[in-house]
Amino acid sequence: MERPELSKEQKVLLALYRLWSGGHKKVRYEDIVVQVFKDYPGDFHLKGYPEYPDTGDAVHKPLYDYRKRGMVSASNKMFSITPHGVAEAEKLKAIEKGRPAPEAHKHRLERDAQIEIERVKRLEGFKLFQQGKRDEIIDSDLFDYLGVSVRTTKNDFIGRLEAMKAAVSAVANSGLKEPILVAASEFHEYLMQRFAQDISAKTGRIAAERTV
Amino acid sequence: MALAVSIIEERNVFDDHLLDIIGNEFKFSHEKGLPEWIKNSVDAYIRQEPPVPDDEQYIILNFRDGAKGEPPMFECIDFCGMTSEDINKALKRWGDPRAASRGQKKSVFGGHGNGGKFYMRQMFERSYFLTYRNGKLNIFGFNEHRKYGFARGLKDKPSTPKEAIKLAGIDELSLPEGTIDRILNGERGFTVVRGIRPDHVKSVVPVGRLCEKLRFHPQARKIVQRKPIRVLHSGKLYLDRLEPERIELRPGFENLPRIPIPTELPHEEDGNVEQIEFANKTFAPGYLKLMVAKEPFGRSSRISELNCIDVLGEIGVIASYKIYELPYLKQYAQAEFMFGECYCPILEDPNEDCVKNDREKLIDGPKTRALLRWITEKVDEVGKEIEKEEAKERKLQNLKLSDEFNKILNTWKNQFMDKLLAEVLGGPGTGPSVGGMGQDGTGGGSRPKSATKGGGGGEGETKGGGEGDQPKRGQNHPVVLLSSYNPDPFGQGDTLHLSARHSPVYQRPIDVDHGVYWINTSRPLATAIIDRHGAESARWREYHFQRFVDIIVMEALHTMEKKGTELTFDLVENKINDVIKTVHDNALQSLSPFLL
Repeated sequence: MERPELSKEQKVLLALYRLWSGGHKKVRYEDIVVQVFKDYPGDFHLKGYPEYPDTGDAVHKPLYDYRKRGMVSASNKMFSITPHGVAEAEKLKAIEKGRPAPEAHKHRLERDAQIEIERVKRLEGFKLFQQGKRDEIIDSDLFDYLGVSVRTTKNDFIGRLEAMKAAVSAVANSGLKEPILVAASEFHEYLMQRFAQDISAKTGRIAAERTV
Repeated sequence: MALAVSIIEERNVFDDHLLDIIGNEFKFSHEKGLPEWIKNSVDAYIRQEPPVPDDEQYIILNFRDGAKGEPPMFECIDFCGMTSEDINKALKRWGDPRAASRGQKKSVFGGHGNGGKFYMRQMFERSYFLTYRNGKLNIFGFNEHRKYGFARGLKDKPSTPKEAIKLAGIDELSLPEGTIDRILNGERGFTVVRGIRPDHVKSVVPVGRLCEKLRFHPQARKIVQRKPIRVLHSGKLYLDRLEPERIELRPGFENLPRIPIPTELPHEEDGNVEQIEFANKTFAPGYLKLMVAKEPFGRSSRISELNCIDVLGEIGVIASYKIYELPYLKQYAQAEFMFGECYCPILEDPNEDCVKNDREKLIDGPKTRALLRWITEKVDEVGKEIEKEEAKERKLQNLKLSDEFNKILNTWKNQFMDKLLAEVLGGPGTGPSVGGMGQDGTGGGSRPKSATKGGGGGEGETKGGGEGDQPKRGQNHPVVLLSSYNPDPFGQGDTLHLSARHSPVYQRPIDVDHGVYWINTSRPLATAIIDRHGAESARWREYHFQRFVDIIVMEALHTMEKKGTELTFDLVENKINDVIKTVHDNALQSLSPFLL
């Protein structure tokens, strides 16, 4: 049976995952370039120079795309993979080895979603939401929910937003009906609606956005 | 076997001593008695057919000083008049609640039909009504033995208006224009109630003091508001019109709505709760109208008389309670600003009449207690609102003082922040600062020595580097503002209100872009310190100063991050310590007068 081919983008994530698995929680851009060239030399060599790695967009762009999907975080050219990214990379790893990609488990939450839900359960804003004290919920609760601050850059903000959406989707797909999970999903919807304007402002900000 | 007895009914026989007993209960003073005369005059106008317009229902109070063998006298004059039949059927009768209405279906002020007569009987040596109507003159009154009756030869004495006016002595008085003419042409009659040698008055009548008391008296002040009461001193004009006290209302509380009295109110006694009826088919539901004065009424001034709740019956005041007389009042300090009226017609239900003879207080009983308890609750509710307002005002005052110190701290911070960041972070500037804001774009950095990207060209997509009236990041230091006080630079001139849940130092995304920080003055600790110690206390200044330290530390860490420093815990800890040390040393030199 022919192994399904991963996209170049997916290979970059896998390379970052391998570095992370090897104990590197924060990885320099140059290390990812080298790792992905070692793992997939045919895909990531400099054009016309198969013995040299490509340091350009072939690696750079996927990393920033994954950042917007909440799977990679970046700061000062240092990258790390998020729990959501780890879950994705493990699926890709299985595919690469010729095993079928693990499907979302019914009646069990995926690990990355579980981590997010556990974090949400401890939030003061969520507790107020459960107590019906919606008037006391403030904009800071949105930032706490996403695990960001007002200074978080646009792309990281978008990434966290996507990660939380994925976690809520995972809850829905799991079919689990525990009250705390239902409440967490409702809290997500509530925050998205109540602070829609703030979210738009934050995700639409271009001016003063820093690039790494 | 019980004896079958059938009683033959007889009229009651009373000794006049009973009148002394009841009369003494009135505990009369002149300010309490005069309103009784005034109410009788108003009732006389109310009974008139055709009706007399309100502004023509003149009531004249004439206080005559004693002089040349003449005793001092009080007079109350109206321009209606009575017949001997009126006197026989109504005036002569004691304790008849129907007396004031004379059988008409009109609402009148007269209650039990006693007040005016008892005032005459108890508080003057002699007193009488001199009244003229339909061409006949009658004088009826009390002699020095407190016995009443018609004056000899002056019952239904045919008289011309001119003779009656002369006999009454009202032709020499300063009366409203046209009143004498109306008597002369037979259009109107008149009544003079005259009290001779009033108690506690030697010769000169203290007219000013009496008027002052009268306009504050609960039984008179409603009438004073609506009827033209003229005051004369020995026949000469003293006050063209007795005016009620005008109370300036507290801003924000000008239009408190009427509060309907529930149809039932609970009354608890010895653990048993009874529901008391406050409206039925016969008596409509009542209401409470509370008002809040701009200034407290206090306890000792005359105006403190108005710090009360007047209980209104179908017409007029049937009782009045000083605010501090309300049972179980909690918001006592705020209640000193309050006054109002409670209209409750069921209190006059003849089957359960709660109205006392003197109309000072209601008859004590479950109904009265239930109502007063409910009124107290409502007064407390408004009192809590006032308390909130007071707290806001206090906070604003404290924030005004805090703003002065905030300006000092901002100036202090700006003087040393560049140097501090350079020293602590080991670089000459603050990194990739951003230039002045245009409408949309972003200008270039203003620090050419920036270690990383400062000093580059403008990045604005449209109008980078333009002028704007908002704070500018980069060329200015962070601006620290006080929530709930300083105007929001990105708002419409209003301040930014933060909740107790917002962090002590707060920023919105737009604040981050423009280097604005807010000190949250609504934080519980901030509020507690200000409330307890005030804005000029060392404790509040210390708290305020510490928030500046927080901001400087945050700025330092962000600058490190912008410079690309890898922020390990050890590094962060060391840098925080360095920044705090430097800030404290600098504060000791520059801010000692404020902090120590």
